Amino acid sequence: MRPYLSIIRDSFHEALVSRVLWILLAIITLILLALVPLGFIEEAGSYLADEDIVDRRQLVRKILAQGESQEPSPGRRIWELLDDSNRRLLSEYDDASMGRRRTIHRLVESLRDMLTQDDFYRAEDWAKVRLPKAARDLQTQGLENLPQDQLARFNRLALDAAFPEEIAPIPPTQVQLAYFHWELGLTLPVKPEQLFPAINQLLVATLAILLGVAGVFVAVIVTSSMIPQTFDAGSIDLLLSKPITRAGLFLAKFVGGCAFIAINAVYLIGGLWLILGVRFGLWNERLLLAVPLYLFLFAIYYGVSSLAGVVWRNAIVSVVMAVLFWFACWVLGTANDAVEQLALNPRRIVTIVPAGKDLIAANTVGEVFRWDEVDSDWQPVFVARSNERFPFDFGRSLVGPVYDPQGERILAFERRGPGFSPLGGSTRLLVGKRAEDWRRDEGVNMPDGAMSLLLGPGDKLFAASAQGIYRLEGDLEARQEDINIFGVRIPLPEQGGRFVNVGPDVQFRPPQSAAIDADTGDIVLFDGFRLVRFEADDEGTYREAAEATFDVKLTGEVAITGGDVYLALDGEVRRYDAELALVETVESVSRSNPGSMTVSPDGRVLAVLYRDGDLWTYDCRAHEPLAMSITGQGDVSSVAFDGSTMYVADRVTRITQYELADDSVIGRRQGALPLAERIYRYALHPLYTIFPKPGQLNETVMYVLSSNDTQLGALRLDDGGNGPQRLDVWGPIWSNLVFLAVVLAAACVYIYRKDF
Amino acid sequence: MTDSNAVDVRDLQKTYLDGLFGRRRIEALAGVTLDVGRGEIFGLLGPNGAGKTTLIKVLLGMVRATRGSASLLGRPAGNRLGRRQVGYLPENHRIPRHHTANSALAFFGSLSGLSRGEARRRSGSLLETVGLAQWGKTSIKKYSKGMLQRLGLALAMLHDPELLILDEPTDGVDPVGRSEMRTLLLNLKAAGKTIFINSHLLQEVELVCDRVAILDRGKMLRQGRIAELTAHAESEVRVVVAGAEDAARAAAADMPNCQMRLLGPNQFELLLHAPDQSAIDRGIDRLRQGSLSLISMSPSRQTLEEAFLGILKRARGEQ
Repeated sequence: MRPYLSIIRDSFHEALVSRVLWILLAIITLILLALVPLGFIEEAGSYLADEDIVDRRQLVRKILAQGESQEPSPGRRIWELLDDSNRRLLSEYDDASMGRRRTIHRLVESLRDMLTQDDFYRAEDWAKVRLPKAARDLQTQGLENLPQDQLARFNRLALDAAFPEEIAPIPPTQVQLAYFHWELGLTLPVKPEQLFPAINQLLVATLAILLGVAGVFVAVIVTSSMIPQTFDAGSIDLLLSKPITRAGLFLAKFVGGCAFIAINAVYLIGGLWLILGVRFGLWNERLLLAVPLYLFLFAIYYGVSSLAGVVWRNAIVSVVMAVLFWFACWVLGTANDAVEQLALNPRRIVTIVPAGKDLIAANTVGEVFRWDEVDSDWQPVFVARSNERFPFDFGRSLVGPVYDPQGERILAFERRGPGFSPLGGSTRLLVGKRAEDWRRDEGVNMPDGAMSLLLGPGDKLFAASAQGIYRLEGDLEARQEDINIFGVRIPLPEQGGRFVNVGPDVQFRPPQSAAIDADTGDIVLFDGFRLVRFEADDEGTYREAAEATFDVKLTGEVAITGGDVYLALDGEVRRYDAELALVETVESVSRSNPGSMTVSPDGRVLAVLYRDGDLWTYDCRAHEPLAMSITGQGDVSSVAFDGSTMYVADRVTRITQYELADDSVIGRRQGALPLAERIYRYALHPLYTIFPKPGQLNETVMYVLSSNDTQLGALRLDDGGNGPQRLDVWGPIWSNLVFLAVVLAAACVYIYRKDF
Repeated sequence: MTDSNAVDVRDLQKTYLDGLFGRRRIEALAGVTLDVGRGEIFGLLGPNGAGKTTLIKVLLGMVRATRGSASLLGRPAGNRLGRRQVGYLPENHRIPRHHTANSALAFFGSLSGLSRGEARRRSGSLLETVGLAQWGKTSIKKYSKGMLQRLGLALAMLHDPELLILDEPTDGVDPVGRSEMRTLLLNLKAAGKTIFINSHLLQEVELVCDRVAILDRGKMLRQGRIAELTAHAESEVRVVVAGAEDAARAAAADMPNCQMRLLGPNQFELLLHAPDQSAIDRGIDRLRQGSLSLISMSPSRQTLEEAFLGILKRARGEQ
């Protein structure tokens, strides 16, 4: 071992002797020295921001009214201290159509000035206002004795007390970002600790650029000559005449090269850690874990550079190969994501509907297809009329279809997402009948906020929404007429069938998931905090029969069968009895949130489809997981049951049919592959899979810094109630580790076989 | 192990594959057989491209033989334990430029399994031996080629190996340094070390080597003691006589294949070609009959260089 340790030590020696190391250390020192003066100034809370004015109109009106009055009042005092131009702006506030925001901004600026004045508060002006205790405490100390920040705080408290409805209260402290003692003008009404998550995020972004890109690039350039020089004729002869192995020599030299960057990374990250601790009070020892992570990132690129260095023994070629590798990773990742997002995901089957002798499927963008046995391809059916689609109406998504065997028709509706919807108006139930070759037709109006469509016993149709449960009464195909006023469709009173609210009478949060028992008609709703089972009375009105509550918001899917209620969550499935008492918790295999849960018609098999494309099955009778052999795990996008068979969609538009009794595959339907998908499937994706993803290591760094494996709120919004997206924390480590091992092994094999 | 030769090579072949897909074959060694006894200084001679360095690299395991066998100190060529007992000075070696002589000795000493203390202890006397005692702390960036060569020799000797393989050891070394290096090699031989020298400088080799081998185009042309290689096939005797020129010419004319050369006033050199001792005796008698005085008599030899060129010429002529 001694010889190899000597080689590593020699690399340290080489790095220390190298001027480049000292130049890098000097640059890092300058960066750290530049950051040292950065810090917080914590002071008594007094800052008034534009956003603190919660009722602008009312504030202006009050100031105007009190200003015009001769009676002393806070508004009168403010009016006195305002200059003429600001008084004029306030007077014109109601008439100004576009300049209101500017008026408020000018008012706030003036108020901020007033808050620093020692004569802003006069007792006679505030005679009818009761000051809060904090202000009274300051008052007892004597306003003339207060330091400037405390005086400003007193004035702010007095202002808050005078306009409690119009101005948001000020917290006790505020922080100001400062450089030395110069305030940088960014005052935040929070405690320093509340800024730590934001600082961590800023740190991740900074490190990703400083170390993840610039640092690694510089390091690769600087170290690129180490391996070629070692294996240069003359050097290698001396080394290989010693009693050491070739692979050992290479690996020791590789580790030694990493030592070079380790010195820099330890210095930079250690320095940042100290500055954050000393100047900001943020002693996040997890930051130090970023050192091995960035060292690992460097090692991946250095591995490529080293392999090139061994083969070509040229530093320039080594750098070029490392840069080409980075570029290849970037191009592959970008191309793979682009094809997935633009060409594959819109076509991915997300709903399978066994419709008697036909098989219907709907994709992500709501297009519906029927499998054509003759052409062995998917044929579009249930096509939206051109006037039903507004080109930028992205908020819509198709709910369903579900198959109504009695009427031999499929039923669906379009759910509008939150936000702008240019078409407006109500949503119609969409009906497609087999007899009309599944032609789309409009039926009754859907209830407001409908989230899901449920087919109960006797093929009764239900809809669940935040307002409750609705049951369809009458003829669902009876088309309602409506009038169009300026593009907004307003329905006329119902003439045919309609959805009738059948309870409950309590307001519900928008349900994440709803399910109906095909035998009893019981309905379960889950909104993240509550799981409720409703059962119908003799009149068909649904009442709350049982409830389970949760302290924190959960993300899951529900199913009900055979008297049991199942709640699928990330990594587990909970089974409740009819009273919603927890019976057991079964571990499932996935590590992402569930996307759907389906029960076979006989109630035996439960299928949970996770958002990461894993399908997990469970035997509801034996109460144990089913070890089914399902192809395409990780890429499954939909599952449905039909009699004793199960349909599973994967590979965008492929559907495999399994016999539940023995897991055997009894049919497979794969439509023609478009060119983009062929390129993706046979070239792009295999390459992307085997290529490392060094860029994804930033996710691991984020996890290390925050100890939170979900995307932070500021970076990614909640995906429509389905819970934040999980970060793949350890995936990049493993894939990159495998790649690094392969690269190093390839270099070792090359060296072993090479005649020097 | 100690009974075996220091170097034992049997029918060694090495063919390099070159060009696209390795279609061009270059035969660097074509069935070389040689042995080097322990404690001797052995010289490997040959023109550029003869395969000398390839042979050394096969011995050290840097190049894999295509066929044949080679062993070093009784172990298969390239064996790690065998290499522990070998000191190697490569041609055009490159010691990492961030070192001083002291740090280079410490580094390469540790690669040979020496502790840092042991390497440091040996460094002082070694640098003294190779004439770099004053330069131990100087960066080798400032070294001349000769100094680097001396340091390379010190690195090869650092772990006190049984066998030293020196590839062009006097390359770039001044005459004084060469003389010192000769003395050093003879001292090492006296200490029982085996030395394998690969050199173009035939005069140097002639002065220190016990045996030599001549390699050309991967083939072994000759090997043996230097005296054997430089001796003529037919005995030649060089006789210096003094006397009358007429008498000398007459005597020379009476002897077959005798050449005469005037050395000075009444002094002549005669080269007698004599197949056996009786022919020499007859020649001497004839000279005495002519009243010529015998000043000196010695067997005639060629230099190693002459022998080397002659052997090469004959080998290439035969081909």
